Amino acid sequence: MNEPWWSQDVPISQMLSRKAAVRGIPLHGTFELTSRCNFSCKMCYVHGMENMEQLEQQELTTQEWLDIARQAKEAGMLFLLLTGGEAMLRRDFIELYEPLCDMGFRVVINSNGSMLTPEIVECFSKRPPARINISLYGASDETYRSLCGVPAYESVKTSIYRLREMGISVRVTMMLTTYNCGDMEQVHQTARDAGALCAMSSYLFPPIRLDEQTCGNNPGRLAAEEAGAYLVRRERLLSKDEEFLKRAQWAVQQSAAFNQSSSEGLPMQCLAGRASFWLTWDGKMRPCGLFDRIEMDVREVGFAKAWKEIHEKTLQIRLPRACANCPDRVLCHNCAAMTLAETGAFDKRPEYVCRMVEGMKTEYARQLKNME
Amino acid sequence: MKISKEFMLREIAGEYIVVPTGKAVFQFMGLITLNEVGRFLWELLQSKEYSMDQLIQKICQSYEVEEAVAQSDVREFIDALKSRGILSDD
Repeated sequence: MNEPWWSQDVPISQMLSRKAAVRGIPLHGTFELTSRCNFSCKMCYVHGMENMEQLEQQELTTQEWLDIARQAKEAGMLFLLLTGGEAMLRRDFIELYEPLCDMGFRVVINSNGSMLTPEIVECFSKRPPARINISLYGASDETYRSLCGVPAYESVKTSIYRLREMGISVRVTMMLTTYNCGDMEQVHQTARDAGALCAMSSYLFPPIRLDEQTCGNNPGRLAAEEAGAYLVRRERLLSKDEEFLKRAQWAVQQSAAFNQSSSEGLPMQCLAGRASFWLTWDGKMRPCGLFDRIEMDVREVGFAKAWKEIHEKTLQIRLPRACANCPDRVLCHNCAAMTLAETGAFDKRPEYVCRMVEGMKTEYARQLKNME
Repeated sequence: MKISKEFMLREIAGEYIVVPTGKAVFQFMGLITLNEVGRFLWELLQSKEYSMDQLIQKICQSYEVEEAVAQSDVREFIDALKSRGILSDD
């Protein structure tokens, strides 16, 4: 269901990704530069809230990141996502960003949009990222205060306009939670007015990276059926009428026509661990940022060995058998990370995700009826 | 005609990929794939100034191809680069 961030950007990437997945090349990399953030979002799965100075000391240094980047380039990395925490919070952000750009990666940045200093603007005027994904968590300071703990709406909006004026591609991203779902349409309008792309999701991972006890829960997320309905409303908002109608009809028919039987669970379907990796702020390589069951310390073993291990272990993962035989599979966007975060295992059926799909089906039917 | 060094040629997964870096990202935000002859021409145009005739001669010297075919292919390649703002006339 959800296209990864790179697939819509560059059509060539789809062809390259398929080749890389077959050959086991780490084409896509995410560098999680820091876990620190100046926001305190209620649903965050990375942000450490205490001992900021200690967290900073545990982060990979500028030289360590650059050394890993050179090794990753050697191994075939082309697409590089810089994320956090808030990546621009690092004191050495520019010192790190500039040489990464010059290495020949297609660099994209995830940011909360509140740290765009004059120095970073100057840096981007000479080395623009291929895209900046700015999280816009609401359409007012009130929403920001309730979800992120800071009244940052105006400053984030100003950053989006500033970047667009510079000619930089911006994608506004919104996580829909119980705190901000009422602002969905206004956020979309803000993105349109600024000439930015827009992406939204209503699925929030249980933050098991911070606390394993949260398995199956995220305090900020919507009830499963409602989260499913919001996925469809999002699609309605971001698509033209005829596109949505086609998609909704297809979704309902595909689900009804499904007829498959498998004796075992499917392997991982996304590129995680097959053609992409995630490197945490403290040097742990994982197939994806959202689970820690498989990880290697890059500082200890080097990039090539870490990738080899991650790749081999990823290929052994099997998703729940029930999912392989589920008629709603075409509508569902379940993945290994979701299954793990919801159930604590890769092969257990994630009930929350199943109920989300029920919510999607109900909402598709309601929308189709309204369109008739 | 010459191509800026800000466009970096890389070989990944058996494909020749051109990646814009620095200010070239403003000029061209995507990626380019090249075939073997495209890579050959690209590397020439990044090394120094070349005229259309010189490029055609280089192709004919390096590949077993008739001059008319080389002329057509080189023109198509150069036009594609110009239309994307990657190459400008000297």
